[in-house]
Amino acid sequence: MEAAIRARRNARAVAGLCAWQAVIALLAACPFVTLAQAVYGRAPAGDAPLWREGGLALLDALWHEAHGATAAARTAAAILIAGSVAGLVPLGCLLATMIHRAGGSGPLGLPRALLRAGQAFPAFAILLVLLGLGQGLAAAGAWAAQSLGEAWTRGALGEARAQQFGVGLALPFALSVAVLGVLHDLSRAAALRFRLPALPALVTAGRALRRHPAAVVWAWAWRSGASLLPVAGGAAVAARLGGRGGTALVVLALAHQAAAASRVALRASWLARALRAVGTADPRKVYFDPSDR
Amino acid sequence: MPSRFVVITALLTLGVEADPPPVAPGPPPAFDERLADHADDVADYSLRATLDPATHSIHGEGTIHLRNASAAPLRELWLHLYLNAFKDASSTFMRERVGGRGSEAPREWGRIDLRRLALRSATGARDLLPSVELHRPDETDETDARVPLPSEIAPGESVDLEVAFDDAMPSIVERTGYAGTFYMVGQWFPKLARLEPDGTWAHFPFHHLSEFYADFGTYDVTIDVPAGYVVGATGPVVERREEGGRVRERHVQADVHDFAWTAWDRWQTLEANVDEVDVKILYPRGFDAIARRDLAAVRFALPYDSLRYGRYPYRVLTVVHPEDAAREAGGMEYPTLITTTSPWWTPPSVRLPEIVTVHELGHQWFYGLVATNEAAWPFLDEGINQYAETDAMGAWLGSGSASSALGLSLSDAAIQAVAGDRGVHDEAVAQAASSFSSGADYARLVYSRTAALIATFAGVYGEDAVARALGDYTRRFRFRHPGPQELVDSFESVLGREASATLRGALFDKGWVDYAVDELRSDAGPAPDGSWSGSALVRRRGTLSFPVEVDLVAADGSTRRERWDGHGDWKRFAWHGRAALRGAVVDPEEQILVDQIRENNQGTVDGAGSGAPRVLERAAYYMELALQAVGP
Repeated sequence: MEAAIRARRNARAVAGLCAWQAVIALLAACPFVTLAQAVYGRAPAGDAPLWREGGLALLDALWHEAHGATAAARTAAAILIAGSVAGLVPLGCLLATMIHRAGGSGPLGLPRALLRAGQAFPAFAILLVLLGLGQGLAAAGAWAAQSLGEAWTRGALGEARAQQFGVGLALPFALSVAVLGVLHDLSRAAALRFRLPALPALVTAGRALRRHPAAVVWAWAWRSGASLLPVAGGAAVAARLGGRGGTALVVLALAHQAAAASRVALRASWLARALRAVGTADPRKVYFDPSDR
Repeated sequence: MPSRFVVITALLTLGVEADPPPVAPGPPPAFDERLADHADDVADYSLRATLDPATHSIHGEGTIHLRNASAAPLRELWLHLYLNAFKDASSTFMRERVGGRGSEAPREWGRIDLRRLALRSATGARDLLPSVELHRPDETDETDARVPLPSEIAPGESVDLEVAFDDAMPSIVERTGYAGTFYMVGQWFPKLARLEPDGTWAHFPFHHLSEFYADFGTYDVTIDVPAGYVVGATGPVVERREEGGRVRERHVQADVHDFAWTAWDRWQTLEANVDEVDVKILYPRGFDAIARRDLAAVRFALPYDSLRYGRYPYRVLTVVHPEDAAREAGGMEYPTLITTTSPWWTPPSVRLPEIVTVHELGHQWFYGLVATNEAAWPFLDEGINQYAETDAMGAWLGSGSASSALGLSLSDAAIQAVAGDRGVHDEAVAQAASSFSSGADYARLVYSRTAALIATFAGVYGEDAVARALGDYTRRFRFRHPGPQELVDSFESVLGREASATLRGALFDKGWVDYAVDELRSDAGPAPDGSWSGSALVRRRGTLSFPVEVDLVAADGSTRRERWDGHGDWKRFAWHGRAALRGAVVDPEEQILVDQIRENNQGTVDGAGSGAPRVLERAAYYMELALQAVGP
C-alpha cells in the first residue's frame, strides 16, 4: 500500500491541480490584461511597445495608469488569497485520489474526490490558521534575530559581516518556518488519510516527523530546491526571447507553463511522500479507508 | 534608498542578461588640445586639520590667500560656514526640510566655531573676528557670515587671512559627519564665497536643496588623524608621515574649488590606473564585489567622459563607498573625490552602484570643471550631469542600463524621462535650488527633466550633434563659471536657433509637448486600380516643437515612415497604397523622451489592434508562481 502512493500514478489528478492553478492565475491576471488591453490593445503592434528594450513605454504606462495598476494589483491579490483558501479543495482531491488509487481501486472520480476533500476542508482550514500563525511567528523571530544579530555585531564586524551574521542567527527560525510547512503538509495528509480532525492530524503528523525527521525533511527539501530550477529555466527563456510576439511568444508560454506544471508535479510528489510518511504513524492502524474502494 | 530594492532582488537575480559590448564614444574633438590647462587662481587655502575621534571634532588652522580678481575694490568678505547648517533646528537648512536627503535631523548636532580670523599685513595681523557678522538681523542662520574689511582690497591686490576653527562633526547627515569611527568631512572649513567679476559676492546660506559655488584655487591641506586610520581626500598625497601615534597626510591640488576628505580605521582599498589617473576605491569590509563594480564603472566612464567633455585634468580620483547605514554620505561629488552608494548585496542586475558612481564621476565636469553656480542654476550641474550619466550608462550597458532581467530591460534614460514628466507642469526647471517647492519637484525637474530634455535633443538632432554642443560648452567654459546663456548658446551654435529656442522654453517656461495619433481613416474598399486611400491625423499638443517621425502601418504589415517638422498643431498624412491603412505610430523610435503621454502615440483605423498577448502570458505565469508561493 505505502509504496503504491505515488504522484506519477495519478497524472490526471496532478493535471487537474495544474488546471486549477492556471484558472486562478488567469483570473488574477485578468485585471492587468484588461488594463493593458485598454491602454495598448488598439495599437497596431498591440502591447509590443510595453516590452521594448529600455522600458520607456512600460514605465510611462505605469505612471499614467498608476491608479489602475494599483487597483489591478489589489484585485489580483484578493483573487490569489481567495484562490489559496479555495485551493484546499483541489489539494484534498489530489490527496484523496492518491490514497484511493494506492488501495488498488480504479479512479476515484471527481465527485467522490470532491466529497472527500470537502469532508477534510474544516480540518484543513483550522490547520491553515494554526500553522500559518506558527509560521508567521517563526518568520517574525527570524526577522528579529537578524535585526538583533546585526545590531549587536555591527560595531565589531562592520555592516556586511554583521548582516551576514544576523542571517546566520535567523537561520534556525527560517528552518522552523520550513519545518512547520512540512508539518502542515503532513497534517493535511493525516487529516485526509485517516479522516482526522485538525488537532489529532497535527499530533499524527508530529509523530511521523519525529520518527524519521531527516528523511522526511530531506524529501521535502530536495523537491523544494528542485522546484526552483524550472523557475530559473523559465527566466532564462524569458531573458532570451524578451517581449517578442508570434512563435516566440508561443514558445515562451509553453516554457512557462512547463515550468509551472513541473513545480506542481514536484509538489504532488512531495504530498505522496507525506501520505506515506504519516502511514507509519497511523493512529488507528488503518492504512486506507475501505469505503474508498 | 536601497531598501526599495529588497523586494525585487529575488526576481532580478534570476535570468540576468549578459552585458552588451560597450560603445566607443569616438575620437576626441580636435580642439581638445586647446583646453585651458589651469584655472584662474582666486582663493588658495593652506590648512591643517586634526581629527579627534574621541570627541568627533576637528581642529583646523591655516591661511586663505585671496586675490581680488574682480574689477571693483572689495570692502567686505563673505565666508560660508556651512557646518552650522547642522548646529540646531533654527538654521535655514533645517527649517526648509522640503524632503529628500538631509530631511531627518541629525542624531548629534554639529557646528563650526571660528576661533581666529585675522588679516595679515606687513605690520602684523589685524583681528577681524570681532567684526564678523554671523547672521543678519532677525535671522538665526549662521552659515553665511559677512566680514567687513578695515580697508579696501584693490582689484588685482592679494591678501592673506589667518584662520583657526573648531568643527564639531554631526552624526552623518547630508554629505558630512560621522558614523562610529567613519568620518566624511565636507563643508568643514570657513570658505570664501565666489567673487564675481563685478566685485559682488555670490554668497548664500546653506539651503536644503542647494549645493555650492566657489572660486578656483590651490588647496594645500594636511590631515592629521590617529594611526590606523585610512585617509581619502581631494588631490594627491604629496607627503605622508606617521609618528607619535598619528598619521599626517598632506594633499595638494590646484585648479579646484572645494576640498573634502574621509577617514576611517576600516577602509579597504582597491587601486588601479585608469586613463593615466590613479584611481582609489575606499570601501568597507565585505563590499569587495561592489568595489569592483565601482571600479568597472570608473574604467568605462572616466575615458568616456574625458572624450565627451574634455580630458580629466587631475592625477587622482578617489571613490568613497560608505556603508549603507551611512548612505547620507554617499552619492556626492567633490573635486577628485566622489562618494557612491549601494548595499553590499546589490544584485548584478540592479545597476545602482554603477549608476551612482558614473553620476558622481560626471560631476567632475558638471560642477567641477565648469564650476557653475549650483545654488542659482542647479540644472546646469545636476541636470546636465544626469544626462551625462544616462548617456554614459547607455553607451556602456545598452538598453538595460538600469536593470535587466527576465527579458525586461529598463534603461536609465527611460526612468529619467518618466520621472521628469511628473513635475513638468508644476514649476520651471531653470530656477534657484531654494525656489523649488519640494525636494520631489527638485529631483524630477532639475535631474530627470533636464536629462530627458537633452536626451530628446540627442534623439531628434543626433547624439553626435548634442555631444558636440555639450563638448563645446564644457571645453570653452572649463574653469570659467558659465551660466544658462552659455549653455543655450552652445546648443544654438551646433543645433540652430529653433533648437535653442525649444531648449530655452523647456527650461525656463515649463515647456511641454505631447504627440498623439488622433483620427485614422481608410476607404471601405480599393479604388478600381486596386489602390487604397486613407489618412492619419497626428497632433502636437503643448508648447514645445520637435521634428518627429510617423509610421503609417498597412493592413499587409508593411510600414511607410514619414517625417513631420513638428510645426503647427497638427498634420494629416495622406495614404495611398496597395493595402489599406491599418494604423499609425508617432515617434516609433522613442526619440522624444519628453513626450508627455506615450499611450496616445498609436492607433488603428477600426480600433481593433493586436491586443495584449504578452501581458496575458507574463501576468498569468507570474500569478501562477505567486499562487504556488502562497497557496496550499
